[in-house]
Amino acid sequence: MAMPLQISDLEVRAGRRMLLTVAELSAPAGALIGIRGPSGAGKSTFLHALSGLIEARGRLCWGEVDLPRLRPERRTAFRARNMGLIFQDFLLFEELSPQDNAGLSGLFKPRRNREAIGARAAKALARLGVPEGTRTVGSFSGGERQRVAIARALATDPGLLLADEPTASLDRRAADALIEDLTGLARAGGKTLIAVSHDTHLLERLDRVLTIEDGQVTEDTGVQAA
Amino acid sequence: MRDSWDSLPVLAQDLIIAGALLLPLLVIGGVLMRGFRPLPLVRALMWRFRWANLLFILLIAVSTGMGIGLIAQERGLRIGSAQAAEKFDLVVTAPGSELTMMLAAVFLQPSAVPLLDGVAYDRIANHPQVQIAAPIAFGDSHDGAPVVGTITDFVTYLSDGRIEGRIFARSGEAVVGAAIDLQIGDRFTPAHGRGSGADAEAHEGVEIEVVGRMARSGSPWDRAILIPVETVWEVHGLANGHTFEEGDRIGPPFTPELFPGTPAVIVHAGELWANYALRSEFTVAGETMAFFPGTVLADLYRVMGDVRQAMSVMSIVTQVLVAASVLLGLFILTRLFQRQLAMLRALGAPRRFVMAVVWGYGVTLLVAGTALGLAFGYAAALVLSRIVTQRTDILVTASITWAEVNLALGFLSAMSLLSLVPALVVLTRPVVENLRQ
Amino acid sequence: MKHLLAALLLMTTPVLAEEGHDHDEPAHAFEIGGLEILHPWTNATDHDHALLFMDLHNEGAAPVEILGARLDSGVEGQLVGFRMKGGEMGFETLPPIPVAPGRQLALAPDGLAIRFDGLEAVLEEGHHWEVILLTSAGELEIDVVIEAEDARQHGHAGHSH
Ligand SMILES: Nc1ncnc2c1ncn2[C@@H]1O[C@H](COP(=O)(O)OP(=O)(O)OP(=O)(O)O)[C@@H](O)[C@H]1O
Ligand SMILES: [Mg+2]
Repeated sequence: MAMPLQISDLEVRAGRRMLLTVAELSAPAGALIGIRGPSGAGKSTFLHALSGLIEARGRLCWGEVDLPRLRPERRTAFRARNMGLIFQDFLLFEELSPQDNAGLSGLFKPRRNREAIGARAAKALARLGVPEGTRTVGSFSGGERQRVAIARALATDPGLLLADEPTASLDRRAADALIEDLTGLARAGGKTLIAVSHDTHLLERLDRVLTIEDGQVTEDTGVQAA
Repeated sequence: MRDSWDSLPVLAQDLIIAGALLLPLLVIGGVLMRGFRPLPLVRALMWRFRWANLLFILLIAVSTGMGIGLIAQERGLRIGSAQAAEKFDLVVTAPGSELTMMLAAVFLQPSAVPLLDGVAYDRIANHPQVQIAAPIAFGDSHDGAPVVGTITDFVTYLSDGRIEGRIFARSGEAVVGAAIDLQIGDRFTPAHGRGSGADAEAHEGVEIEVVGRMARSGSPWDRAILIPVETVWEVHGLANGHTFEEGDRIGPPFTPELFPGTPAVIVHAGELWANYALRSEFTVAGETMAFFPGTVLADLYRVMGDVRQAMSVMSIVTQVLVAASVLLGLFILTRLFQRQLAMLRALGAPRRFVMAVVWGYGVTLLVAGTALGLAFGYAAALVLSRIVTQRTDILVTASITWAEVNLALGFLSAMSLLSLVPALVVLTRPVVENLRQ
Repeated sequence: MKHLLAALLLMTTPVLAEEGHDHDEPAHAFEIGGLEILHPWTNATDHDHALLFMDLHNEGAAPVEILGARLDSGVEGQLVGFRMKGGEMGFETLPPIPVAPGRQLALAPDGLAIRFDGLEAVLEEGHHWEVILLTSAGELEIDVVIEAEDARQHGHAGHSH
């Protein structure tokens, strides 16, 4: 289930150094948001804060849940239940089949959820046109791999999709096809998508684009479509 | 508590010990894996680092196998030699080294030993508690096998009466051991001496006929040719223990003055306790020495036990070194795997799951290595036993007992505990840092 | 490693027949019905079992049977014989053993012994132990020397008196 985002006075530090500050930001459930900015600006850091992977101060609420206040293991559980993550370099298990990769969460989720995860993984793989069979993903192309990664993110039926440079490792054609699928699936499922990217083709397809520079949100295309 | 433990059957005790040794492993495994399915990822790790894994498994297997093979072999040799000596309750010889005398009289190792005279033999043979007093005369050979002169009662006793054909009945007949390559009815001329120095012509003109074959006993006597002691004496141009009037009779009693001497008398008493009394009685300063081969072996086994202990210490040291290198390997390999593991955490996998994967991977290597090590150890013991049996005719059987299995399980369990360390270390680095690499 | 030394010695030196015991200190010799008991000894132990060794000479005219032994506390000692069976060393309980006139009998490690089970006190090296020897000629209290835990013979062995 997608949840609205509400941020105020968010700070992320590394030791003394301030990596990111976000004074106010909100987004409704189901929004498709892009984040761009120069290298080292703090885009990934923002994504990590949004997913609860790093410690942050201030308020960062997904629906009713104020993520920075949760203990780490509760944040992990929240992530497992509500988020799907997509990485630039896919991070798949090359030794496993696409189905096993996509259904990875089933390995640590409660037994009763396993079947549903497997079924959703299979459905997503089919929908994304990933070659079927027992071939391991070690022999897959970049585009095929990223599709498996998206299927993995979708397998738990999360309300939130967080992607860090999902098209950066792909060629133009593969990237375009992937953008089509990713945004299409997010919209169709009513999911909130937050994607860090430099890819204008991707950013064009989103509702709203934030620019982060030097740890600050310096530009926000605003609430045009939402 | 102690009493109820002692009253348990040995197998039950061994099984309980094995269970107790495995308990830490099972508990850790149970706690880490409960509700999870880490196996597909463990398999992925096994496959990704297959060559390194194979090396680790072999390393563990060889070090475990060495220790186990050694212990199994030592026990096999101990049991085999004890069984080979079991029929020899008491041996009486001229004073000397008990070990030399035992090797000569019981294990038929060639050696020059002093002789007991007819009076000494007579005293032993006529003792009321003595049932069999067998003179043993050696020195000749045929085709490398010792030709041993003795008496019929001893042959019957030694073979438990399991003789194909018949026992020798007159001078010039022979009963062969089970491993001897002669058939009943074959004839041969004994060579003087044994081994490379044997003189084949010395006894030219003497022909001995095989009339019987003893069943296999698993002792060096399987490769011996037994003939009447009189024949040995006659072949060497000595008196044969009997007066002219006695004719061709063989066996006791012998006339002391016509008894050329025997290096050893194998004594079998009517009753068990009598052996101990006889040992005291036949130990006469400067004349005779009596000993239990079992006791001499016991002393030898104590030496072997010390050697075994020293070797076990060495093999434990090797095990520890191997364990250390395997742990180090686990550290390095899990490092290579760190991004994937961080990804799992990012996907929402609990710490316990990641630990289960890393620990499961380590334990898979250990279990595979230990199991293979037991097989290696058994194979090594098997090969060594075969060699020893071939060389000595002491039937050495290789076996892996619970003692070795439990040793291996103990190692496995301790190592599985240590494998928690790389699993924990993986979790100490922040997820984000591992994702970034 | 001590066994190693003991066994090496055993291998290299001829085992001498027992030396005469004619001038033993009186404390180490006892006598009953013509049976002379020399050098009774045992190993120090903190287990609850012990083996009793000694040399016996029958100087009398009638055979004497060794039946066993007991302690004041009532603990009984049984005559046992060392046996190698299937590669395992062990002891077997024996019936009474007669010592004929003029004969001798040695109770020594890896041979005959009188075994006590269920001892209540530890046996300390250098101390003495009161044991009642049971023979067909009667009971006799003997004073047993407690040798080192790993001793293989009594302290007087090897001396040429
Ligand atoms: N643990 C840390 N300690 C110190 N500095 C850090 C730490 N983590 C990140 N940084 C710094 O914070 C800044 C933002 O990093 P971040 O990864 O968010 O950048 P980014 O915008 O994603 O850049 P890119 O486009 O290159 O991925 C960088 O300068 C980085 O070096
Ligand atoms: Mg980044």
